[in-house]
Amino acid sequence: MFYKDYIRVLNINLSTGRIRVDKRKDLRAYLGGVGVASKLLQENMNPDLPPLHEDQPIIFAIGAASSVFPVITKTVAMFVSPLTGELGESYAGGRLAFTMLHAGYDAIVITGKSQKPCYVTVTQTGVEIKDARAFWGMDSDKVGSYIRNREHGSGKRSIIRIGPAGENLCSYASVCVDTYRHFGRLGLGAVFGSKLMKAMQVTGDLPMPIPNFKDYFKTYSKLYKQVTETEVMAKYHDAGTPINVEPLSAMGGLPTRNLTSGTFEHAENISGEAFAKNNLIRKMACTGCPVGCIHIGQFRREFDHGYEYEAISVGYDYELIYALGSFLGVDNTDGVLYVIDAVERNGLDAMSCGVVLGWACEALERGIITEEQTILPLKMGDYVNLAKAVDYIAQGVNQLYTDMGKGVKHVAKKYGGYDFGMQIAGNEMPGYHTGYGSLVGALVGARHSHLCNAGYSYDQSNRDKELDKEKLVDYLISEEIERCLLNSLIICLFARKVYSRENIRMVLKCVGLDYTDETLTDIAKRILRTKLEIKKSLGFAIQDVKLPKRFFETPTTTGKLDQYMANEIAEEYARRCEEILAEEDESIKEFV
Amino acid sequence: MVITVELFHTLKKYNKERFKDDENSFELSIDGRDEILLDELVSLLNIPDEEVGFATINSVKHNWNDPIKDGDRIKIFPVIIAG
Amino acid sequence: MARALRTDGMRKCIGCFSCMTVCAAVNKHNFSISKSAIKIKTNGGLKHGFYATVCHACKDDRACLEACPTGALVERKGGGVLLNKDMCTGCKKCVDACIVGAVFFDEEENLPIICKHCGSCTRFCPHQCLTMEEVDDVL
Repeated sequence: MFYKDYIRVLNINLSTGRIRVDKRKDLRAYLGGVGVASKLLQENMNPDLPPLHEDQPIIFAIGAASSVFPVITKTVAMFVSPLTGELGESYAGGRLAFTMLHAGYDAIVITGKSQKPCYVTVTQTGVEIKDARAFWGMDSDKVGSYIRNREHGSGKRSIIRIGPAGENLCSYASVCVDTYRHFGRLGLGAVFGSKLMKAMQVTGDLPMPIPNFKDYFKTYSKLYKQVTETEVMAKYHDAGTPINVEPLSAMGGLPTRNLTSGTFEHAENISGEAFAKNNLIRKMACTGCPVGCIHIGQFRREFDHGYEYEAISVGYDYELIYALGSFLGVDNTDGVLYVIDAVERNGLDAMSCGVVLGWACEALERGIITEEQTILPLKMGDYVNLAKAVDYIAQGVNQLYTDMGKGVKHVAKKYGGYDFGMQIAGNEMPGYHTGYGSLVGALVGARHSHLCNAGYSYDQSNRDKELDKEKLVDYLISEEIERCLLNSLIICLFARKVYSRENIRMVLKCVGLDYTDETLTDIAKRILRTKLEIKKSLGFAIQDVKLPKRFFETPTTTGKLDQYMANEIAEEYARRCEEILAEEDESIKEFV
Repeated sequence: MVITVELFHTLKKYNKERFKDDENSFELSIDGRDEILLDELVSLLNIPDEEVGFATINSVKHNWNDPIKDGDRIKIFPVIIAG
Repeated sequence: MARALRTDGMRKCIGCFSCMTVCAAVNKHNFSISKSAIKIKTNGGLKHGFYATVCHACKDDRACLEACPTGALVERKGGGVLLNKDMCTGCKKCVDACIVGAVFFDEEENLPIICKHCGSCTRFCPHQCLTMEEVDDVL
């Protein structure tokens, strides 16, 4: 809590219905956000049980400066991932951080399993576990409207929920946050489903006096000005991240048709400009963000003969266009939105889903699987059938689709085609095939995301230079550490350039935390250490990861990659991790 | 020689006066030359090096010292960002 | 010349809530947007766009002022009213009287939340949805 020396944790046990609130002074050593959530995950998880066992927890945490400064908008969710079997960590914007803050909780820990489908309401005056039996089976949009109508709190609430994929325990099911944002990656939706928890509404408007108004407002105004006047932020607002589609394709870094190529000949047709021209109808923001990067696109679908049309609007951004566009050979904006809509309704992670479908198209073409199994003549570019296949995955209509719902690593191991099932340590690849930075970065990153360390960025700025292994490892590890800090406040990574160390210290000071740079670095390292410990306890070792061969066959932006070189870089990184794990944490004493 | 130049996003501001309303590209005539290097073009357009990601000539990626010829269409992209 | 808050640009609203955060901070020194004199709401879920509820700066007849039994609300130059806290009994008659629903109530302070048309929100509106307009100085 702001101006307090503790972290306020709400514990909800779905098995017993017990609710408990802890004030944890010791957690201040982890600042907030990902730090606090990592520690709480470590305390509450059981490494010997499977990820979807009822004794595994779900942790939500907001950051040390959430919601009251521009672009500090995110909530972190941590869990044991049913997709990778190891560290589950995912971020979402929307209104969740804002409402948790105003309901008076820094973190929420959910354990146990409900006896029947339930949803949870969290307010500043109480927590309830309610009947959701009639909601079971609904898509996430529908259950959102029902809860909106049934519960109070208009304008100051956040509703997070799962769709059919989460209920059916698909390993990469997502949790939808306030219609347009998601805890997308690594399968939080399945963990919800395993607890028979359909949704959670958080409402809050606790009065929170600002004791140092002058300092606060000066800092707020300064940051607001920086954010709204920075060009990068304008870029996120105008056409948004889809602006990357065309340049990445031209550079040869846009994963296309199951990564058989890094260039998509129709990139121009699914570029940011094309979406803006054909489909863009609105832009929106997370609470507390003046940028507004959420792009909503609309398309028209004929649902019956006699000119019966419906207008469907869905959010889009670069990652979705890559995974459900170029990666599946879909060459028009309406088609991409058509598949996004299916992914959205079912509540799946778009990236994982696209990569799994990419494998399926190729596996069918090669005769590894049959059309009897796929039910549909699945092929690249056929977005109508691809969207149907998304429904089949979420519903697990037969053995093949159930296996596809367990991730591309699982399905490719079982049926064949491991070398073209594009995953990294069990997580489906992100939308950058730019070089050693992107590939090894995702391999060694704690949650195997492009956002762990932004390896693609290294590839880009070192494109014309000789590979320097040491330099790359230095970059990856220092970026991962710095991001532990950003994610403990939790600043949207779009604004990472605005939130320099100086600005971070200023912001923390305003909410009563006066730390030196050294202390902040110590905290960031402590957070990474905790995450590495969790990974280790779950049996993860960098050396065990076997990358699909195609990563080394299809040239990247920086040329073809060499498998041995990639392994060497990863091993060097692993060695550095061991060093971090072995370091004595002296400064934690300051917090006890 | 006359070439068509398309600038993306944040790079546009360095050549505001060259764009007509609602157009994303402009024609550029360079007198007395029949080829110019990409590098030269970038400085000619007053775009700072650190803001340039890369460029294509007729939709194919090119190096900075590749030549541009009459009638070519050049796209210049800013560095890629993601989040 | 007096100024009044206008919400004509709300079609451009992205729902960032900066206006509410700033209003509550500047006028009430509080982080809670329930203290804000302007409220941004949706028409039933995020799929339907945003609208702003805030004092319209009525000029000739001010329903809230007419309803006030103690005289705590007085006419503001350029439209709307000003609140004299010491005279307010917290009866909420002004809240009911405002047919656009722009008088909110602060239960903690037992006082209505009255927009002063100070313009702070407009300075932190990233897309100029909210603006200040110069209006006649008449009472």
